[in-house]
Amino acid sequence: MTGFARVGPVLERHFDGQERALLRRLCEELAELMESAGDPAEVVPGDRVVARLLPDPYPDDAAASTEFQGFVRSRLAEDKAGTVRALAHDLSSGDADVGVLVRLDEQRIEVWLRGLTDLRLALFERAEEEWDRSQRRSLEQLLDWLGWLLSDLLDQLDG
Amino acid sequence: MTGVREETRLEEDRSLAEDLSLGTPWVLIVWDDPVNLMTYVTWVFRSYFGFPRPKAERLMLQVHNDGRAQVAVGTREEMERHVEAMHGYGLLATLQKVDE
Repeated sequence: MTGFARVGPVLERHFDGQERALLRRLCEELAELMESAGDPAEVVPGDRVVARLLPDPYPDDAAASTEFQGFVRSRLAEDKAGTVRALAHDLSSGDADVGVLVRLDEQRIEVWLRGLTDLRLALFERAEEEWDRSQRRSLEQLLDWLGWLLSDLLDQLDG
Repeated sequence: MTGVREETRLEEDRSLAEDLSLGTPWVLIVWDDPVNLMTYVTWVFRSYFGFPRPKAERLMLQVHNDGRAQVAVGTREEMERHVEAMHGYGLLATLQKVDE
């Protein structure tokens, strides 16, 4: 599998039709979850992905936690939704047959680092609660694939 | 020349006294997690805090080996900003008073 290649100031990678569809779906699912997480009335209590992506900074102090979490939590949720929507946008050109060439400048690389990280965190939590072994295996393979992409981007950044 | 050096030291003493008088300092703790890559954690420490690579790697290894590392110290407000940033990057972080 090929990783990103540096072309001048930009890192490029071609995502084939299957990769493109898969990654876009993951991004859209997480974006929807984060968009509803900003509204406490909409969150399924005990949702592991929400708990992991929007953690509690004051685990020993319920009052401080509630106070802090109020607007910070919705701000974070909105940012995370925006980040994975940005990834989906970068994957939106091209189509199922030709795939898409993703080109990332320095700023966009950071968006992808964060987005890939949040997607991986979400996949891990879903895998943890998945009873079906083959489903769990699929989620773990996705986790590995995104980890590989993330690692590749980070290696390319090293200057 | 000596006059200038003395002035600088007096200024530093004054701002330290101010910090301490504002209350107990707070610390930022970053916790280990089973998902994040070591290279990613190092990158976050370099990118967000501006730590030089050796310091960022040392702290990352502390998180990895000890399960947690104290990464910053300052006012509660500063630490809350840092916690939010760390969560933005997908790291697990909490804040607490120094004495805890």
